[in-house]
Amino acid sequence: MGYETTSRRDVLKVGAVGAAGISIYGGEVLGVVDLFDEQHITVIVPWAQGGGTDRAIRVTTPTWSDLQGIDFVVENYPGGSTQVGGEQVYNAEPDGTTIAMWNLPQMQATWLFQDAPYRTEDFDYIGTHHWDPTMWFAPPDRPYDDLEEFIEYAREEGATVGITAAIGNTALSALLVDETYDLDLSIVNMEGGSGVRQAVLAGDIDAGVNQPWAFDPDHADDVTALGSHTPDQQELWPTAPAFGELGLDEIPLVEEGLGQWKLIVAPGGLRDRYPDRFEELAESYAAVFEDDEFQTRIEEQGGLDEIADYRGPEETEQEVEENAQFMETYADVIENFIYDQ
Amino acid sequence: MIDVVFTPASIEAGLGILTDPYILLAIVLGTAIGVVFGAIPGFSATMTIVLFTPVTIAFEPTSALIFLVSAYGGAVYGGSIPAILINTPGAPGSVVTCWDGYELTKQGRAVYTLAVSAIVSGIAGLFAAAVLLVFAPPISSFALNFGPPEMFLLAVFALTIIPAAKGSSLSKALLAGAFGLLIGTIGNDPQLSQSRATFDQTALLDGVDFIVVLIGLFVLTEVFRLGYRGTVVTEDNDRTGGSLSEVYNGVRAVVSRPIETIRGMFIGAFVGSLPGAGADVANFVSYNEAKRWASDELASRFGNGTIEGVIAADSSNNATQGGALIPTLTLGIPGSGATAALLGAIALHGLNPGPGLFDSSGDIVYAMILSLFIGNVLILLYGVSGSQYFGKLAYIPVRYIIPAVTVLAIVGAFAVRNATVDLYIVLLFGIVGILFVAYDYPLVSIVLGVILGDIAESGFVTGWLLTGESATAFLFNSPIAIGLLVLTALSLVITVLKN
Amino acid sequence: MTRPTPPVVTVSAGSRTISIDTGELLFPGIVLAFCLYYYWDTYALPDLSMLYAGPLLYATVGLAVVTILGQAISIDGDTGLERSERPPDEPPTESAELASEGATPETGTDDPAFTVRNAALLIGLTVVYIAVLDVIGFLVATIAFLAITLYLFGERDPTRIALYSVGVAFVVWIVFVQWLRVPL
Repeated sequence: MGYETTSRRDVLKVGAVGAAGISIYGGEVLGVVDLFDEQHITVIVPWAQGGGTDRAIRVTTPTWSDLQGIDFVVENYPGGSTQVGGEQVYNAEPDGTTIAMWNLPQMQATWLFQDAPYRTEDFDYIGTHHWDPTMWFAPPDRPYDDLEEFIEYAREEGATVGITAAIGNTALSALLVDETYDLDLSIVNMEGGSGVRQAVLAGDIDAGVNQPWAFDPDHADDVTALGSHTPDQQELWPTAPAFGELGLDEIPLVEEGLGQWKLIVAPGGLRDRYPDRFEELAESYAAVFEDDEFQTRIEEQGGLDEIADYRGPEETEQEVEENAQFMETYADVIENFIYDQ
Repeated sequence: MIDVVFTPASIEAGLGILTDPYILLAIVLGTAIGVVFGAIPGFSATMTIVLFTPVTIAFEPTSALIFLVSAYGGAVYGGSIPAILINTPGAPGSVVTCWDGYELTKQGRAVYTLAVSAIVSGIAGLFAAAVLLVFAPPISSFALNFGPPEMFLLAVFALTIIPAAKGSSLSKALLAGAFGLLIGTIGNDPQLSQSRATFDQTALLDGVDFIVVLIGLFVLTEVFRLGYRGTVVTEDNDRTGGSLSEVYNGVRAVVSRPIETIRGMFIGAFVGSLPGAGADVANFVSYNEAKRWASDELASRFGNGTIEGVIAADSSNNATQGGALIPTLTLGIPGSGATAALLGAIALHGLNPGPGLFDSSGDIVYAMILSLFIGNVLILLYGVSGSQYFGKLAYIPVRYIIPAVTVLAIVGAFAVRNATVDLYIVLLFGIVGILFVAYDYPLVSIVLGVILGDIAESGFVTGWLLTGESATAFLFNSPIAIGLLVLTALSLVITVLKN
Repeated sequence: MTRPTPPVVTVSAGSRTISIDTGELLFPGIVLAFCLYYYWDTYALPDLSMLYAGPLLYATVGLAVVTILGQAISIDGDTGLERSERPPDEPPTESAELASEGATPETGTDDPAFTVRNAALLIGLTVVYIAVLDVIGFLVATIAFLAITLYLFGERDPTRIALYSVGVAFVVWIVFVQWLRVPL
């Protein structure tokens, strides 16, 4: 079939080799991992790049990787209120090469209010990372300065409250306040922390529920912090009173504190099948929090060091169970919200 | 006003990013890859960006986006190479380049024509980058006034203007757009996280990824069509030989025709900024204008190998890039397939496309815009010094292109989020794309629908809830909302009158 | 180059003839089928979940019906309201549509490899490739797909087929599997 000439073939060869060379070389210098490095641990993040969970893990893996002596590759699987990423971990081989950073109570919500196939006992727990309390924010020009005043205002005028997700801690906090004081709030899901932040800054909503670290303490001067869903004042956002201090103890979960845990999870069975690998991971993870470089780095991340809170495997599992319990207790609050709509 | 708009800190940060040697390398590589792939017959700028987006997943966002925006510019220029050499436009934006470019090649002036094309493309690209730098920031600060109802109305407006711009059937364009929007609602709903039409696929809880849709519609559809169309390559001889003096003649030809180049650039930048119209429309408008303004004697030579024709085509198609990026970066509304692909890459890398983009990621956006200046100088250099060599790519037989590109499309679609269901989605949209081409549905309508799906739904639902669930409060939320309503009505009326 | 043109079905009802361009039914048909599934999957959801998607679904169905009535069905040989005037055997493309104003850059080729049959086979091969990718592994599936497709489009030299398919598959494997760590 003579429609081929030598020059054409040469061009092809040169082109193919060149393209391969360029892309591989380019990849290496652009700061991507080494070639042919089979050894790595995949960290699944059930949220998009750039979100709170993603930032928290990416600030952690460099140190953890040094201590563990292996590369960590973060993979984002956003969607389904963390169920998409959750099923990735659930279906992964429990051999220590796949772990995830997840959050409570989103984790439980995926099986309580969605059809996720897994439960608490389907995972092994390596440790917690930090606890970000639930906090209410308002645009600065409003006639209320704390949640108590907001409740009075909302009773008279009605109010819109933005939340970060339909079935997490912010929804629960908003619903509990609404129910406790019989307010008939108009609760609007702003689809994520940045949505709530923008809506508060733009004055589109009367109040927004978020976590202070996720909200970004750099905005402390631009908003009014109405209060945190905790018994005592938290450290990250000093101007925000605690619900407990405001005397709003009637709201459920104030005493226990309602917030968002971030934690490291492994597919269930790792601990039984490869106890050595589990131990090694758990120990090196614990050591991350002792590392000075890590501490400096999280300090630069909007004061993440203020809320960093490492707990070992047993305590972490306990937290997960407690969260599952209170989420079940208040499941009907959220279900009523969904199905009354 | 100006200093509020031009946040100097962001520009400075953007410039700072550009001094990073890795970023410079990303520009050099991106532009080269763009030119190389653009020069392959049947390979458009959109396909280049779409296929390379999954490859950039591992890059950090800044280098990834700068790499892709550089590849965009390179590919628009590269598309002219096969147009001139083998009468096969590398992309719809280079169709007009064929008319005079190929005639000149037949007269033995291939190197001269390639040089003119490179110079004009580079200059037009620089002009367009300047336009973008001047107009994008004020538009973006204006866009910050867009609340949820305005975002919904903007999406509706963007979809209705396409049939007006493209002259396609109103019902077909709207059907394509509505179907795209409906595809965009697959997955959990934004208020209550209830799953919709996910075919029991967990990955679809997060919706259909629009990069996968783009790969299907723009890459697979195109290879499937290449499968029956082929190209003319086999009949042609390599005509890239020629002396350096021809390059010099090319420089002189451009320098002595400043008006022609400038006219093309303005037309390109303007047409590019319209939603739905890109390089494919701009080069026709520019060519027709050039012919209209020419003397009768010159006008009669258009189409028979006159360099003014090449200048008109290539000055306009490269200038569209800057114009098309204006609505893409400021409003999150892409005006063309290529910018839609770029928008997909922006979202993939964790930046929020939309009115808040300059606010939240100003440094990266400015670095992208400023990188265009370097990229277009590179196009000039690559083109003047090496278009003969890039030209060899135009002679790659199409049978070598089809298998490899099909594999790249499939693998790339999977790589976006490692979901098996995406393999079938990309195939499905590859086939839907053939129906679109065969029955004259505007591809950009469905793409825009899928891309705007989230914005439109969130805008509608949150807007509705926040405006107290009243239609009048929603529709007449602000002067901007009313303005958008008027524009939407206008574009519908224009389309109906045209038909 | 001709593309297969789905038949125009003509139905006589009394004095009137209704002709249906079955090709024009394809896309609206796909849309309607999807809408039906969408409705079935979502009718039990809370109203707020369908606040936007519900009206959109009905609008889409409406547009599909309008498109079918306007484009595919014509009565008494009348060519419909918005019917495009392209001769059916010219593959209409974005560029061809515009190019028709001037010279014809969309020159086809006489190469016998580029036929509708081979394009259809390419689609078929792609379906098979996707289906077996998981089963027989990435490298084997890819090399086989590349070799068969290249042969289909006219390459007959076995050395070149081998070099091409192994080379391309290897490069893709290096970039995506090794470097980008895509779990293929």
